[in-house]
Amino acid sequence: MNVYYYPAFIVMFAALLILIQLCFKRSHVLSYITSGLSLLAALIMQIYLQTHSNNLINNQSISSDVLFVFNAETSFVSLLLLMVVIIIWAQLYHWLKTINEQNEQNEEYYLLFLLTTMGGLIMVSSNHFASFFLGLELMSLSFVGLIAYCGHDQKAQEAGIKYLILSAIASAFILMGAALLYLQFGSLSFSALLQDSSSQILPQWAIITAIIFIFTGLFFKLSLVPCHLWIADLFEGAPLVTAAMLATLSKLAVFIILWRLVTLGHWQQYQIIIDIISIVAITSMFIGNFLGLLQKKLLRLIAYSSIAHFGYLLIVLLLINNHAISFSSQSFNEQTLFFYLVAYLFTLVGVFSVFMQLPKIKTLDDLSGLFWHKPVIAITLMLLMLSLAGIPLTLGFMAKFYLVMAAVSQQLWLVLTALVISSIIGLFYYLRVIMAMLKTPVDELKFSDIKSDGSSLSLNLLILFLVIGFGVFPSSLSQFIQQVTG
Amino acid sequence: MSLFILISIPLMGGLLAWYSERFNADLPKKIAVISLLMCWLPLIPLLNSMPFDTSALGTSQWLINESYSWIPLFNIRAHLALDGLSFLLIVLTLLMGLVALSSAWHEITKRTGLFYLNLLWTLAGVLGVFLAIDLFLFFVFWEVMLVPMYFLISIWGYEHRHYAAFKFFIFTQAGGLLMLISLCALVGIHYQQTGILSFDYIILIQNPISGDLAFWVALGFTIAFLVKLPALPFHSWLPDAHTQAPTAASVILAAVLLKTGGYGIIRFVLPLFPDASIQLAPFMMFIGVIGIIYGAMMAFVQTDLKRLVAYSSVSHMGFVLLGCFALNIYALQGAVMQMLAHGISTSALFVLVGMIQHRYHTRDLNELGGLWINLPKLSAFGLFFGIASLGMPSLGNFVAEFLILVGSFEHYPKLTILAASGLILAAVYSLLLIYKTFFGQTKLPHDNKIADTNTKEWCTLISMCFILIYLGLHPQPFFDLVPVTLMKLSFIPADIGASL
Repeated sequence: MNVYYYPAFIVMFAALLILIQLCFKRSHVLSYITSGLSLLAALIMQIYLQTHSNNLINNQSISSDVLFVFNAETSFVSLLLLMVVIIIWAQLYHWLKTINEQNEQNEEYYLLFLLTTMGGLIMVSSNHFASFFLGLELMSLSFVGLIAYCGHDQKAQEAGIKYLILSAIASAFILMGAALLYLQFGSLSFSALLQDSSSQILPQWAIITAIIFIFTGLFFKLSLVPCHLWIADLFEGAPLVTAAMLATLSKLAVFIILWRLVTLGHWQQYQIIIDIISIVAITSMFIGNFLGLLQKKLLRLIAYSSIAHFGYLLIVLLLINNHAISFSSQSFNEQTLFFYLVAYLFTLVGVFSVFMQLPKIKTLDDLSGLFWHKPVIAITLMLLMLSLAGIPLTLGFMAKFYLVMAAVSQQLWLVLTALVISSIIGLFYYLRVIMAMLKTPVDELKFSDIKSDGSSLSLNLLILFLVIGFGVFPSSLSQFIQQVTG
Repeated sequence: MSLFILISIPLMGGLLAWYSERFNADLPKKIAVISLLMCWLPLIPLLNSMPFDTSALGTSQWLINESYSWIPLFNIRAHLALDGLSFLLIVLTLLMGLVALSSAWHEITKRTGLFYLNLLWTLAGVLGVFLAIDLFLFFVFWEVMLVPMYFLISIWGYEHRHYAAFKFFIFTQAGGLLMLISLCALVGIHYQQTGILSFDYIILIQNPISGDLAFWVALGFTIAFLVKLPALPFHSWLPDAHTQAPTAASVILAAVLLKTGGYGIIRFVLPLFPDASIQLAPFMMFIGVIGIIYGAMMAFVQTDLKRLVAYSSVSHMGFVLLGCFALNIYALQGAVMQMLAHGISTSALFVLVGMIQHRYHTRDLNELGGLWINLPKLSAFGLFFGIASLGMPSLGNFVAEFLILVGSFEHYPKLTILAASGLILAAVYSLLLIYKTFFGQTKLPHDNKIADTNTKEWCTLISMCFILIYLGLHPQPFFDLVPVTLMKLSFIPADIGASL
C-alpha cells in the first residue's frame, strides 16, 4: 500500500469511526474532536509527504497507479485543501451550536464534512475518469446533505434540491463526455488523453463535443457563466459553513481537475476550445462583477465575486507556450495557478470566518458602523476586501500580479483588458462593504451580541498574518511554490 | 538604510498616534508633529552638503542609493534612491505635511488618533513614491497611498464625502491597473530584448525598449499619470475630492498627491520611452493646453470656494503637462518649478478656505464678502496667495510658467500662445476670488467672536509666503538640484553643462 494514500485513509477512518460512534453515543464534542484529530493527522502526514516529495528532482511522479497520481503538485494541492478545511473546522463547533440551539444532534454534519473532504482529496490526485467521478460524486452527494442540513429552514431545503438536481445533470454531462473520449482513446485514464491523434477514430468535432460536455459539467461546479445561476441562491440558503466549503474545497478540487485535463490532453490545440475558454472567462468576469454590484446581501455578493475570480483564474488555461515572450515557462504557469489558488482560498476562508463571527449580519446595511464598535473584526474584513479587490501589499494583489505577468508574457491583450475593466467594476462593491463599515452607526446595541473572545481574536490575527504577511513578503511562499512545481 | 528609516518614521508615528488616543485625544496630533519633524533627521546629512554645492551632483544622479532583495522570483528589489528631483519633492512633502497638521489642529476633533494615522500613512506612501526606484515598489506605493487618503476623505469629509472618496479611489485605481499591465509589459519586452529580467529603473533605463508595443506601454503609463495629474479627460475626480475632503486632506492632495503624476512623467515616461514620448508629445501638449483653458474657465464660474481652487489646480497642472512634453530643458525645469510653486500656493489657498469655513461655516462665494474688515490679516494672506496663483512676477509661479512657455515656444508656437492666454484667465478667476471674498459688501453678520489668524496660523502662512518669494527671486539653487543632464533624457544634448 502506497504511503501517499494515508491522508485520505485517515479521513475515511475518522468518518467510519463517527458513524460507528453514533450507534453507541451521540456526542457533539466527541465528533468534533474525532474529526479534528483526523484532519490534523492527515495534515501532518501530508506535510511530511510534501517535504519528502519536494526533495525529489525533476518532479517525476513519485508514484502513479492506474487510478491516482502522486507528485509534488498533487500533494501540494492536497495540503492546501486540508489547510483550508482545518481553518473551517476550527469554527464549526461554535457555529453549529448557535444555529442548532434546539436541536442537539449535530454529529452527522461532521460525518458529511469529512466525506466531502475525502471526495476532494480523491479528486485532486485522481488520474482516471473512474476515480475522478467517484470523488466528484462523493463530494457532491455529501454536499446535498450539508446544504439542506438545517431542515427547518425552507431556503436551505430549496437550495439542497437545486444543488441535487443541477449537480446530477452536470455529472451526466461529464459522463457523456468521458464516454465519447473513451470511444476515441480506448482508455479512461487521463494519461491516455496524451495519445497521438494520428490514430484518429472519431472526427475532430466529436472530440470537441466531448470536451465541451466535460467543460459544461465542470463549469457548473465552478459556477462559471453560463452555468452560474445557482450559486447565489445556494450561498444564501445553505448554512454558512457549507457555503464556505462549496466556495473553497469544491471549487479547488474541480479547478485542479479542469486544469489537469486541459494540460494533459493538450486541449488548447483546438482553437475553438481556446475561444470557448476565453469567452467563458471574459463573461464570467463581467457578469460576476456586474451582478455583484446589485447585491445587498453579503453572501450573494461573495458568490458573485467568486464567479469573477474564477473567471480571472481561467486565464491560466489560456497560457500556452508557443508564442510566449519570455520567462513564462510551463512551470511559471503552474506557479501562477497555485499562487492564485492559495491567495484566493485563504482570503475567502478569511471572509467566511469573519462572517461566522457576525452571525446576525446578513446585509450590507447591517454592517454599518461595525468599524467603530468592533474594530478588529472590521479591520480584518476590510483588509480581506482589499485583498479580493487586489490592492497591493495583500495576498490578492500578488496573485493578480502573477496572473498579469503570465498573461502579458503570452500577449493575451483581450482577456487582460477584460481583467482590468471588470476589476474596476468589482472595486465598486468591495468598497461598498468597506464604506458600510465606516458609516456612523444608527443602532448602538446592534453589535452587542458579537463575541470578541480570545479565540476569535487569534483567528483574525492568523488571517491577517496570512493575507498581509504573505502579501508584503511573498518570497517565501513563491519559493515554496517554485520548489513544488520544480 | 536612511531612506527606509525616512519612510518608516511616519508609519510608526501613525501607529503610535492611533494608540495614544486611548490616553488623551490631544496626544495624537503632538505625536504626529514630532514624527514629521523626526523625518528631517535622515535628510540632515544631505542638507549639510548638497543644496549649494553642485559638485556632488556632477558625477552621479543618485545621492543615496539603497537596495535589498525582496521577491527573488521576479528579481524585484526593495530599491530606494534619492536624487535632486526626489529631494525637492520630499522636502515639499514634509513641509506640506506640517502645513496640513497645522490646519487640522483645531478642525479635527472626532477620532483624532485614526485621522493622524491616515494622514501620516498617506505621507509615508507619497515619500515612498518619490523614492522608489524599483518599478514594482513604485507601483505598490502608488496604490497603497490611496487607501489612507480614501479613509481621510470618507470619514472626515463634508456632506457628499462617500461619493467623492469613491470616485477618487475608482479613478486612481483604474489608472493604477493600467499602469500595472504596462509595467508587466515593459518588463516582459525588456526581458525579450535584452535577456535581463528586472524591475529596476536603473537597469531598464539603460536599454529603452523599442517596437510597436513600446508606444502602447508608454501610453499606459502616461494615462495612469494623467489621471493623477489630473489632465483633462480624467480630471473629474479632483473637484469632488477637494470639495469634500477635510482641509488637511485637501492640502496633501493639492500639494503632494497631484505632484506624483508630474513626477511619474518626468521620472519614468520621458527617460524610459524616448521614442514614444516624442510620438505622444503633440497630443499631450494639446491636452495640456485644453486643460489650462478649461480649468481656468471652470474656475471662473464656480461659486464654491474650494471648487474654484480645485479647478485652478487643473489649470495649473496643465502647465506641468505642457512643460513635461515640450521636450525642452527649460520647459522641464519650469515644470518642476511649477510643481513646487503650485504645491505651496494652492495648498495655502486651501488652508485659507479651511480657515474661512471654520469661522463662518460656509464657502459659498455669494454668501461671503467683505472679510477684510473683520479679518484683515487673513485677508491679506488671501490677497497674496491669490496674486501668486495668477502668476505675479517675483513669485515662484511666475518663474515656472514663464520657463514653461519659453521652452514650449520652440516647437509649438501656436499652442504656446493659446496656453499663455491661460495666464489672463488665471488673473480673472484669482481676482474674482479675491474680490468676492475679501472686498465688497459685508454680507455676513458682524461677529466679534470670530477672531483673526492666531499665531500658529499666521506662522504657517507667513512661512509659505517667504518660500514663494524665495522661489520667485532666487530660483537658481532649485534648478541646480534637478539633474536634468544626468537623467538620460534623449532630447537633452550631452554637452549641455551646468551652465544653466
